[in-house]
Amino acid sequence: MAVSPHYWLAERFGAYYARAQPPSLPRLERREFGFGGWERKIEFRHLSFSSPIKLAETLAKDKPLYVSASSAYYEFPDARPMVRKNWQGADLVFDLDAPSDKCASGRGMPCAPFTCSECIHRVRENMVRLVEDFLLADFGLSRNELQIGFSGSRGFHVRAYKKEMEPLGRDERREIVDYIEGSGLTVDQMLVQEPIAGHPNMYKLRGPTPNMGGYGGKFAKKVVAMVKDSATAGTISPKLKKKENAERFIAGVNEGRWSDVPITHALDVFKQLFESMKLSVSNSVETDVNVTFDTTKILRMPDTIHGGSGILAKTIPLGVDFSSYEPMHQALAFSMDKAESVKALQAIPVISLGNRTFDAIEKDKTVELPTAYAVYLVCKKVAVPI
Amino acid sequence: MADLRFCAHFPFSDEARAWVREQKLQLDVTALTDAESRLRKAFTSGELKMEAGALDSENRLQVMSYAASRLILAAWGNRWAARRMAVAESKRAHEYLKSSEDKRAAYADKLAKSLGLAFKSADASEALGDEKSESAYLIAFWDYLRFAPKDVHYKLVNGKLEKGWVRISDHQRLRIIEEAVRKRLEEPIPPLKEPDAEVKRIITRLETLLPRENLAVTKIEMKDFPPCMKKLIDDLRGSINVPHLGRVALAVYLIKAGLSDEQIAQVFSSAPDYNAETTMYQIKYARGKGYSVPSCATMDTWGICIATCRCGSPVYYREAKHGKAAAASLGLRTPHMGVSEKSTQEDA
Repeated sequence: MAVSPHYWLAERFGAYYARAQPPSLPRLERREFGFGGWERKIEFRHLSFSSPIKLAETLAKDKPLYVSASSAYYEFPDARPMVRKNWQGADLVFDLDAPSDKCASGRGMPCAPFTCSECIHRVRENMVRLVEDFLLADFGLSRNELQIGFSGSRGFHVRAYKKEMEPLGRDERREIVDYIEGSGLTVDQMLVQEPIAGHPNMYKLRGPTPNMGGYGGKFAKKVVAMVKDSATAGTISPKLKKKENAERFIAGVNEGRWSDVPITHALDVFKQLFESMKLSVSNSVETDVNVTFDTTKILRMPDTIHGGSGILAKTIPLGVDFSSYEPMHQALAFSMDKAESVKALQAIPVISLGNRTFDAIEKDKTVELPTAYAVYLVCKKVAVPI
Repeated sequence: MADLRFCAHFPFSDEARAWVREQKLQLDVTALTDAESRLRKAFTSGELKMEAGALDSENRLQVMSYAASRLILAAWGNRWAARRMAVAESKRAHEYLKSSEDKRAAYADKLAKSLGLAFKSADASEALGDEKSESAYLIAFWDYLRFAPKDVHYKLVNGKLEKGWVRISDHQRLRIIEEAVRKRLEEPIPPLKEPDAEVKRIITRLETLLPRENLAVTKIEMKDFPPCMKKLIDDLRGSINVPHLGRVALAVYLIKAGLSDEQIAQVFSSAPDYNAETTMYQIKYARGKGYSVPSCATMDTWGICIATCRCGSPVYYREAKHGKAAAASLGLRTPHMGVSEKSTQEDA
């Protein structure tokens, strides 16, 4: 008789936790935990653990498919209702996910429930921008104050640990997101057209200087950097490919004059550039902004297995380049050697996992696959163990 | 040796409190009488004037009157009174900080330090545009987020943030210090269990100055209000300071809901800095201008959108929530939106 997929997965997850390094988070004993199973991602919450070892023991014994932890610290993490927990502060967390109804590959069909590498790369690019352009450059955080990791499914989690930020409430966290999204900012506020006397159809363009700080300064810096680089100068205007024009343009911007070298459709060109600077968390990627505002939410515990993929929500180690991280190949919990038999419940497309590419599988066909891939398909509910 | 002038200007500072403790003085009748008049002034006008304090004896009296006023608040335990004082005291501190005398003494630095706020002086030559000659400061973004006024001009996205520091003008720095003072004074005061008879008598006299309970009169049908408006009203009722733009949004909403100027003024009467004259002027002004209710997107940028109802505009909330029929029935309503607060509770 075939085993139930839930039982089959739980056995493997439990065995993993029994041998793996216990997953940990700073001040783990102050956090609330939640476990989920086959039906729901969070079936129990308000749990707490005194140490990573105690948590790992429970994971090996209870074998949950999903493990969530709070970004918040509480005096009494297991108290109920929420107010009795006595909130003491929270990490700043960003949750970036690839949209499940669209696919970045341009193949038309959404790749969900699977995650194609194009989708992962699109989210990763945004994660890199969030980290480099905003958290490091503007907010002045350092790489070792950030924990960057795969979410286990279709995106990345970025957690910032800084004592001074912990007390920030919902409104203040919303300000941070508004900043990153450039909410309410338009290029018209940055660039002003000044009429030229005697020339009714001509105008001068005044704008920010690179040393101004804020979005204005950021914008000016970006434009200057683009013009300095002969490879990108042309995208603003073909005129700027000429070295002397580029130099004249930069000298002007440094003084707030943006039209020393007149550019055709300047406002449109700069508008497009300006918009691309904001990290639009609602268009290209789905950032669950609630995760950032809601300081009582629980979310995937780093370095635990995601029950929807069987892949680890793995923390990217400090020495590893997060801009080229490939979670589908580098965040596996299970072996690529051992073989398991599974039966496909539907047609399964070509999928890459663990540095291998697997052929498409026909519906109802029974195949022998490496553990990591078999677990992946069973988690996706497209195959059952035999 | 304590700087008595600093203590008189900022009687809530650690230095002033330490001085009061050192003196081991009993709060005498003079201090209590001064305190009563301090509270009375703040309750009625919403502000406290600066006082000339050239003499140590005058400064001493001021510190003692503040200490006595806190003792009265501790014995009283009234939230409105405590918040009204927090607003008045913090505005007074701001006035002092703006004075040339305090600027010379660099009291802003000293006070900021005692509030746990660190400012760095920025190279003024880098400051451009609107703040030409004003000296510029840097403040850590987390302090900025916690203490900058909740106002569109202070939104971080409009600010100058670099490497974790926000560049601000001297004026903004003083405003941020004012907010930090207000927040500190709004923290709960440990209750004083057994006040003496004189304190009790003062409280009885001051109680007559509290805003009257007005819920029965305004007859607002709260269940039809979108969460953002409810929150603004709840905050006002709880004497929590609502930012200016929040007040504008609420006033315009209530005007559109058909309330009279007087009814709207009553909603605002429990604001900690309530001033009857100013409020009435502003309501009439908003009505005269015929402003429309800000959209959800605008409310969001103002930082006062609190829910994800995403109905487009607070005026469409009822429709979004209860369907088109509800919107039609709203059109048929009498100007005051009809039903009393009581029916809301029954519905709940």
